[in-house]
Amino acid sequence: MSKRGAAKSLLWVAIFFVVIFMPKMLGGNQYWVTVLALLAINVLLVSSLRSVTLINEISLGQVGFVVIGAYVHATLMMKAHLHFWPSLIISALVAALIGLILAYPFLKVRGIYFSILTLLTAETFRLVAYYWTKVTGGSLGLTGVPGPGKESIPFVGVVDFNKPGNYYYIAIVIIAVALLILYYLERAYIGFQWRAIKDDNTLAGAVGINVIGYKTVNFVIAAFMAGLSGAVFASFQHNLSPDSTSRFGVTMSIYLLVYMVVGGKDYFTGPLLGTAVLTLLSEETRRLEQYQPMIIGGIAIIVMIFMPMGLVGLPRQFTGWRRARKMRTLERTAPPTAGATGMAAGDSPGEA
Amino acid sequence: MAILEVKDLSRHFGGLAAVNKVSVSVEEGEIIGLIGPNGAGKSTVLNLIDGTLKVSGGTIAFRGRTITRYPPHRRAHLGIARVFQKNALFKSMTVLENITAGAYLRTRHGPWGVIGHTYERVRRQPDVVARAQELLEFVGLQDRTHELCTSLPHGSQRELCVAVALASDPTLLLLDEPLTGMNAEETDSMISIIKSINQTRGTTVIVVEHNVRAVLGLCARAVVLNYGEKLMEGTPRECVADPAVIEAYLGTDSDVA
Amino acid sequence: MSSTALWLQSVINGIALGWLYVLMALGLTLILSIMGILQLAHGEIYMLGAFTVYYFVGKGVGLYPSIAISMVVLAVFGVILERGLFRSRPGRDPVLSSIVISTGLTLILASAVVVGFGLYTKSLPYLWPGSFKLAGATVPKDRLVAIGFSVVALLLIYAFLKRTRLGLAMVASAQNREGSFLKGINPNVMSMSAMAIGCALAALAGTLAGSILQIQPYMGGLPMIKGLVIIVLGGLGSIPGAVIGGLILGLIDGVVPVFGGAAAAAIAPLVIVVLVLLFRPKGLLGHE
Repeated sequence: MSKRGAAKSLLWVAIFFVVIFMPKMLGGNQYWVTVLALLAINVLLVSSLRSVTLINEISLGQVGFVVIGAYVHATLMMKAHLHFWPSLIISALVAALIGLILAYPFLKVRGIYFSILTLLTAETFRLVAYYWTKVTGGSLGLTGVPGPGKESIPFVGVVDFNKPGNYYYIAIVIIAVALLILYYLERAYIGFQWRAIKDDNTLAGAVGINVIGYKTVNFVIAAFMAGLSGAVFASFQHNLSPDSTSRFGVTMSIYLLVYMVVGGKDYFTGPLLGTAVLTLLSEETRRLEQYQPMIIGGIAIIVMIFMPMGLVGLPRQFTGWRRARKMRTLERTAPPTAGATGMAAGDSPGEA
Repeated sequence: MAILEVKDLSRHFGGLAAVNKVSVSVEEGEIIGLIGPNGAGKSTVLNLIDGTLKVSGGTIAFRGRTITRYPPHRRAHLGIARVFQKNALFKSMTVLENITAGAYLRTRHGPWGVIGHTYERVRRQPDVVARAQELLEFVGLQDRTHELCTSLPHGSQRELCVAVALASDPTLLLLDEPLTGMNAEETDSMISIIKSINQTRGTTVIVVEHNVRAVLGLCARAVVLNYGEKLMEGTPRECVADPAVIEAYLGTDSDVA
Repeated sequence: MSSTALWLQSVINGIALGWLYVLMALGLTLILSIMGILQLAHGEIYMLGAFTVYYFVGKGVGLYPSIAISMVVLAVFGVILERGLFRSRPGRDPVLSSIVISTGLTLILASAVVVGFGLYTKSLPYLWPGSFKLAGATVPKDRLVAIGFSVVALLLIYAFLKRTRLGLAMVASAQNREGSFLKGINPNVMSMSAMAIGCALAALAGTLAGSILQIQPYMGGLPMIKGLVIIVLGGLGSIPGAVIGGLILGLIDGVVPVFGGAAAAAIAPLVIVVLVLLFRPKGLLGHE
């Protein structure tokens, strides 16, 4: 393994241990465990957003699938008395199904209009949750969503997973698996088709790629992941509130986008880094609560203008700068050559 | 045997007929030219044949099958390939990746293969490797396999476009102004590539071109379009000598070599 | 109140609302079709228009002069935003960057107003105090003023777009961006004009709405959504479409809540949009 490869693997092992032992390290501090669990849920959500950018679309409506996932899961567990795990999967599948139905009309529309549509649809779902009081508890929200309950784990004994400190591990496992799936898909042959579609979707069609089909698959997977994150959230939070400032509102869609861009939308780890950095930043600036949106908004704009590749892309941006600067200094010192393309630093002045 | 039958093909934009009741019959294995002044609708006809544009009227049949309503990728499945007028390439990909993408239809993967196989594994399939190598040599790009396609000069990019189109091993190749923006040397190179495609692989070729001299050397038959309608068809020599065709060209600003 | 009176009242409310939506949608359409960007902070411009008036009224300036000032201030602000933030740079993906920048802007502007003016709702002076009776319904006079202003604004914009060189260039740009650049129309002038007009209209809408209802820092969110619904419904790049869409939506929002309940009113427009797009992906009067 190359030195870089070894360094990367070491980094992942370190992250792994940090994640596993974080709650212990924080001394069982409930507040921080909650923050971390929500952070993990958000990472999955932002990753689903990033997944859609692989086909060159920006979905501002992932929160709509979160609504579906959360409320279906809550209803299945509370009214149909399903167990945690089947309910989780079914909720995500329902979100994916809705994604499938919406995909057909949506994917016929390009660029900005697709984004507008997704935004409006997510708002619709939230409003449905807000007004369909019978099923969702309406504006008062839905309380008492149960968690996975008590399970007996070999060597550890009975663990109550309703407690945030323990639910944290379930969330981490689910999200890690989901992220691995997304990571794998991006490197699979289907990821290559998505790249082709993103580069030139007319040419992709001309070489036989079913563009709408592959875009649909992408969108449905993203919907599934978003729905999954919603269901995991529901059992964690135990309360669901569909008002406009909640996790289901437009503001959340905005934050998700910012997390992704700050981290770097071209990299798989972008959502992870962006969400982690900005969440921690929000925690540190709790005192300045009034100014928080301003800070986040400011960061978003600055990153978009000056660091478009995000934090993960920063090294590459630096090498790009250095290379450009090197070229410029070479241009200044090298003599003008007649039509030649090469610029050798060793050219002596006076050569024609 | 007619491989492609176009009957009364029409395409309207608003009230304007860009293509009006054009009928052409293309024999298997021939190179046929589609010529005419600027704006005659030649590219539109290609767009209709390969499915990029929807047909307003008329029918298209390929090997006896009516494909009028088929989306582009389905037509590709049947063996129709297209080289676009502007350099359409997968911009983030290298030369080799472009060809591998073009070979999508000829890679072996079942319906779940897109998820099951990684890109690397597909790329290493022996027949994919062989095909890519052959195509690269065919267009002369074997030395630039791992370069980003955007760093190639214009002429080489055009050749890559042809290679990508050939990657799916098509029976019918649609070339949209392949010689645009090329100098004399590149033009000759492209012409010999096209001839070779037709002779060694037996691919039927429809060429849309402005450069009438090139068409003279390349095509056995030509169809002349003007204002979206078929003016005449015949051997290139006949077409160029025809008074109506000459008038159509002189009446507009285009180059008659 | 009799049923007719109720109907009349809701229809008039709907029309007033509709006209305000039209102002929002018009601005958004101009910006979207001419600049090709999604200005998600447009709702905040609307809100800033209302708060600017609040500020000047607080300093003793009359309501109507304040409205004029506010429109000018926000127009200038819009131009500054265009030049500073939204101007496209090579190598930057315009769709993503405009969305991210405008969402960042939304966060900044809304929280700036919260910091500056506080969270609580405030009132603006009446456009025209009092109400009158019409067929048994009590119609507040300010609705009429709102409608009046909106109609006048629309007529002025219409005249501008159809009669002046700049206006005609803008219409051409809106319908076909690339084509108009080839004809020699300066894209920067187009963008600045689009932002200036769009923001002025939003400011006007915000002020009128703020006077009829109340103002608070988050008042821009809902009109933004309405604006988006309208431009999708009315058609992409279509200015008449924005007007028609706005009026339709206004009527729906005015009438449905009274007779169908708040739930239906909130969901109906969105459902309609999705349905319309299913069958006419370009919207009712769309171009590209």
